[in-house]
Amino acid sequence: MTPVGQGITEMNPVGAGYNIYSGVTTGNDMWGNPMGAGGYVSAGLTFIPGVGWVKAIGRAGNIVNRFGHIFGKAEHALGSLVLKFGSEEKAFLAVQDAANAALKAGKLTPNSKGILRSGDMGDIIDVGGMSVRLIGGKVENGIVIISSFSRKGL
Amino acid sequence: MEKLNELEFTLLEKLSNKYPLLKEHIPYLRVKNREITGVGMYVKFCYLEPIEDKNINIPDGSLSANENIEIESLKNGLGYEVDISKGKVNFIEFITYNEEWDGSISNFSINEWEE
Repeated sequence: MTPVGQGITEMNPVGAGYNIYSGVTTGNDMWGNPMGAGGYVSAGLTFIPGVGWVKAIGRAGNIVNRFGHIFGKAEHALGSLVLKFGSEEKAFLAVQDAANAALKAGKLTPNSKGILRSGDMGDIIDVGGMSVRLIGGKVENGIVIISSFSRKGL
Repeated sequence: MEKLNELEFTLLEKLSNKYPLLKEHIPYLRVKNREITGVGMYVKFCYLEPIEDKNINIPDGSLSANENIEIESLKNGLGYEVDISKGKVNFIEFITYNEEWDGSISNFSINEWEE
């Protein structure tokens, strides 16, 4: 796919809500927001300058995004955790509680800005007898704001 | 398949200082897709050619040097980690810190972890 840009004056319309004239996309993006001059849409993908083609599976401002981000990735290997707690929401809350308890117990290692590590340095916490590795996160006002977590490789 | 954008390439280059085998993979990497989740992004990779016979497999796991990525649209910036599966670079997971994000990246800078 080629982004519509200078020198390309035409592109097939690609879906409801999008109209492309003279190389400029108008209308709303897939999140219902007006498209800016810098973005283009094709076959369900959006071109963001500086990023490339992206598929939006979440929408900024939507609280359920955090669940989708975390539990929507099979590689996070969270199936057994969800099974144990009965739902994604309950599993998330269990991780939230365990993270806050670990913080209170001095087991987490945020930096001076309250940021928690990710990757193989990510804090591993006990959630009802199951190990969970935090992927980033931020400590604010004595609680852990969860970014993501995984059970891969534990 | 797309080439890596500047942020993806820079991150992997920097991370290869900590995990040298990673550097051998970068020339073969292309972006298969990017998924914006509203609170982060997954960048899934594929390879230009098979690498199984090159003896450069990376042990499976999740890699990060824990730099903070500062971009204009996020007060707290982005964190990330790189998923390694079956010896290959599988995806980058970008995460926000208590902020929603539309996936746009402009004027990024990568700052070392501060204790």
